[in-house]
Amino acid sequence: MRKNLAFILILISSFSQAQQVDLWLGAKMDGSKLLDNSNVVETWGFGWYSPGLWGMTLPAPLIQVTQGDTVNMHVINASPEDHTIHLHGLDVPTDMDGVPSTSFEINPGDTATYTFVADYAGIFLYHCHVLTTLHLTMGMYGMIAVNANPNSNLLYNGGPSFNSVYHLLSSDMDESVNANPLSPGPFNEFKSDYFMVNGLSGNQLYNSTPNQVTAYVGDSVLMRLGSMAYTKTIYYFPPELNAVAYMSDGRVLPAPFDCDTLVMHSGERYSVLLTPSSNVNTDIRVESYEMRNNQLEHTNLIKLNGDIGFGENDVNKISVYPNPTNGHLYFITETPGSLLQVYDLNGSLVYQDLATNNNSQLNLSFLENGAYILRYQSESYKVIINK
Amino acid sequence: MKRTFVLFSIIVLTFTAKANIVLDTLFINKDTVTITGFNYEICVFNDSANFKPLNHVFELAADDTLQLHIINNDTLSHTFTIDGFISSGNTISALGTADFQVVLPNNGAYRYYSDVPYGKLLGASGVILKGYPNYPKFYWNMFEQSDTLSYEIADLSVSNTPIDYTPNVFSINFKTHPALITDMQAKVIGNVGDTLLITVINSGQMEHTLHFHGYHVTIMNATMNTKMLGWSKDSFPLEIGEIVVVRLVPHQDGLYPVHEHNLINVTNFGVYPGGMLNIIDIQP
Repeated sequence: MRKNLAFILILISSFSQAQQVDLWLGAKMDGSKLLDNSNVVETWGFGWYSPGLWGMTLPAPLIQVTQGDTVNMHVINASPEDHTIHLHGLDVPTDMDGVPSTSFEINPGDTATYTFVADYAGIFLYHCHVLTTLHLTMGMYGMIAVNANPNSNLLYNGGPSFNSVYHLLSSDMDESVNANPLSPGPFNEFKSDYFMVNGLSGNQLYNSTPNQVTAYVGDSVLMRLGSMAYTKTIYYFPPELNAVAYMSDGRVLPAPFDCDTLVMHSGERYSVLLTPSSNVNTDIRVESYEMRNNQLEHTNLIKLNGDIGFGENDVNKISVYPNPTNGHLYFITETPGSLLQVYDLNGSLVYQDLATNNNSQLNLSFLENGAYILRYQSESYKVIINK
Repeated sequence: MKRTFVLFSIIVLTFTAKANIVLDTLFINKDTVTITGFNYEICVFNDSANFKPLNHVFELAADDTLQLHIINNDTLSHTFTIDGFISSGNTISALGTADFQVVLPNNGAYRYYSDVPYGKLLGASGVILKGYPNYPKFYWNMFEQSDTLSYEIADLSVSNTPIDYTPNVFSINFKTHPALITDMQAKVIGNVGDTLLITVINSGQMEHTLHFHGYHVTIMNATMNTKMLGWSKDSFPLEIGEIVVVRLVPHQDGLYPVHEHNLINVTNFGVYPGGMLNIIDIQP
């Protein structure tokens, strides 16, 4: 009985922190983005609005609210075309749904308000639903995180706790469409040729400090994952991170499941808890697969930092040094005789050789500066070339 | 004690007596359909000799056994295949007939299809539902194809989906948006608080992913992504050949789209909006 009373008090206390939240976003169509391959493309998107100077971002700003909040999203359309906000997964009434044919559009220069109650903890999405195929590749999407309780880091009320959180949104673009959005061509011929996590790809992503996961043995790290991609996203978590999925699409799963490999399709979201048990010699690998033929198209890496991050190689298996390297490095193994392969961050094989003895000298100086993946037997190691 | 045993025996006898043989006939028909001015070839299992662009849906009670007579109106041979149950000795010769007894031991959703390239690549793939409760049911048969490729498959010059597969038609029940919203098998109509069952089959040659506006649905059955069973989702995938059955209990009224979330699939020959975009219409 006393336990029940305490539970009710906690519940009341939790809900009493619900409040009305007012957010101001702006829509723009004048962005440009320098890609990891040095190309520059046009982007459209949303940004935090404030009178005066403000800009859009790709992806749109991460919105964080608390379960129970009533949220008013005020959207100023500072662009020459109509836009909407679809609150993906928040199950809002028709008039707040952001679909032009059943809701309303925000005309150029107008302001509109989308209101929703954050009933469930978890991760959700928001995006423009006007000419959606085009407006998504141009960048008009972002994530909404609903936190269970601001005073305790719980995945959901009554759920496990975490001590750090990362939000990762996968998406992609067809560069030719972004380069010429006014004549995008038949959309069924859209071909994802640039795969991003949080708007970044390749070395831009790998070297981006906010997108590097820092954790220590014993930590509980919450990964909130979402996909706005045209492709299928697969996350590969190193087994030492003990990845377990607890939630999907803003709902608690009937039973958590181990997810060293997590397949995620467009529109889906997952909340995954990492509880590292030892240090790790690889990074988190994120791959994208073309839906029409299930072929691997792109690979991105999320860098791990802290004492779980890439550190000392297990000398009982292999050793690679120096690392970073100017291109000349030593490869030592106690189990020679296998093919050693080096891949770039797009998943392309750039070097391979047979490791014929315990101690080999590799010359990778022909490669450009950046991160590469060295694979030997069942192990993968990151090699940084810095000439 | 004796009376209890007699009562139990009567119940068992009554239950057994409900076992039922369902007789039915299917027709394999192939023809051309036109969508937004473009033609493509499809092959279907109809419930009559007259070609209709849909695959017949069977609803069986828990104790039903299906006794099926199939008439092949195509000039090529086909198969009647249910993976795990009927997969050999199941050829139906060109312009011939065949009989099958379909014994499905468990309640659930089963896919039947013609396992020849000019059958399964042209959409000959349907659903058998067994033992589902008597709630209002809706059927979405997802199928994508390229118009030119469909003719190459039909004339036997192509027997596999090519690596550069670029479909330009994305259909549900062989209709695309906006015509799709008039398909009464597909359009979900109900009231707040109803229990509605939606059966979705991916009869295409690529994975699909559906997104529901306005609602989360409960996954009642997923024949390939089995871990999703019991999950509450607003977006979920369908593997090639997969059937997913979802339960929708609307908590609010309104008009809500349901669509493929890989948005190239929401187009007709490259033009948005179109394709796999359906509507849920819920009254108070």
